[in-house]
Amino acid sequence: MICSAWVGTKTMGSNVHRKLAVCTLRSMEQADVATIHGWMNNEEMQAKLEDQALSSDEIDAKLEQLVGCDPLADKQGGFVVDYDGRAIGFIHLMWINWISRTGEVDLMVNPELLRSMLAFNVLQKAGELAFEQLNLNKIYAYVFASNKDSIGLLKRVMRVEATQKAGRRPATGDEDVHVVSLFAEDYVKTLTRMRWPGYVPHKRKAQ
Amino acid sequence: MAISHLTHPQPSGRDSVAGAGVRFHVAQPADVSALHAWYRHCQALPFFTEIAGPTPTFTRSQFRQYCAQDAQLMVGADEQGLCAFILLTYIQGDMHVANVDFRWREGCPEPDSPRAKAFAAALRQLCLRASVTKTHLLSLPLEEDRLQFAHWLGYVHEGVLARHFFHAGRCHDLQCLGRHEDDGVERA
Repeated sequence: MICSAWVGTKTMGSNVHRKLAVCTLRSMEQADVATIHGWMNNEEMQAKLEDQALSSDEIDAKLEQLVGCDPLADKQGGFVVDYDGRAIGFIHLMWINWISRTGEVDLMVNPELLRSMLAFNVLQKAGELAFEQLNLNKIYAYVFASNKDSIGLLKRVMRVEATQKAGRRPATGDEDVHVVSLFAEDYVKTLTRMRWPGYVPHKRKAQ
Repeated sequence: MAISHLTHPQPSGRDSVAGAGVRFHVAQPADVSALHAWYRHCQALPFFTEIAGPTPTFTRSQFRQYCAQDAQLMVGADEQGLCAFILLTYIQGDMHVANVDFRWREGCPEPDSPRAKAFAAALRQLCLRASVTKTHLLSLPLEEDRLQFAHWLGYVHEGVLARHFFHAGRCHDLQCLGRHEDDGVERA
């Protein structure tokens, strides 16, 4: 169950607003399996994202089960963010609790674009999916403490609610795991305004 | 579906703990049925406290499946019948991590009482049986006796998940607690 969000960080410039406008969100398809497999199938990515290294077959099995998933019935789903006709991010929404209206989210960005501003778009699309389409109240992610890039980005709009001390990781030894969360109202206050030219969340002033 | 410990019990020295008029043992099918009957009673507090579910309207077979899939269940019984349960869920064998849920029918016993010590020993047995070295517990802030009992067991506060759990008409915060089994040794 423990997993993490991995997204790149970079101070957002004006281009990000243009890019947000043309990013699209869609359900994962069979053709995406090979693409996302390619992103996941390297040690650096897995060290940030997974509790333990996955074999190529395990990655395939994990992705295949998400193709055609129905979030309502299956309580999980795989989604892809496209930019300019190219997949730039993958959103895995899981453990959806339709009573508490919460869900856990895994975010992944195309490694080639990790340091680009497009990474933030994937987070924005995760909010759009959860709050504007599925009507959830809250999403959360488990992020390993060593994944500092992701934490730096996520903390601009999400809050760290808990830190699980010394979660065991066979690959790297004990490591703290942060639980970061985003509420629907915070999404409205911050991420939706990303569509407005000139709005930069981490520089906003307290009212 | 892995329901091995419910359908094919394997008696061993790790299967039961007794003390202070209460005996904890690894659940048998009849115990699960009794627990389901307890679960179906309308209650002010949630029977299970976990973030991914479960539904409060489980049928008996769904309930049985929940208590068995990647899970280990121990129940406590006294002269009046079932009085407590300990459930490890989402057991991650490679990580040696699991979520734990427990409840006493008549409220948690006083810390350091014989019943509390029997419970602590049973929890430790269950973790050993599941090869779990760290457990996570979620609790509503209003469950003061459960929190006090958890702290006595060695659980430490790890954070609060705000408005994370819907029960009885509103979303509640959840207290996150964690314990390394090494920290709980002296209680057992």
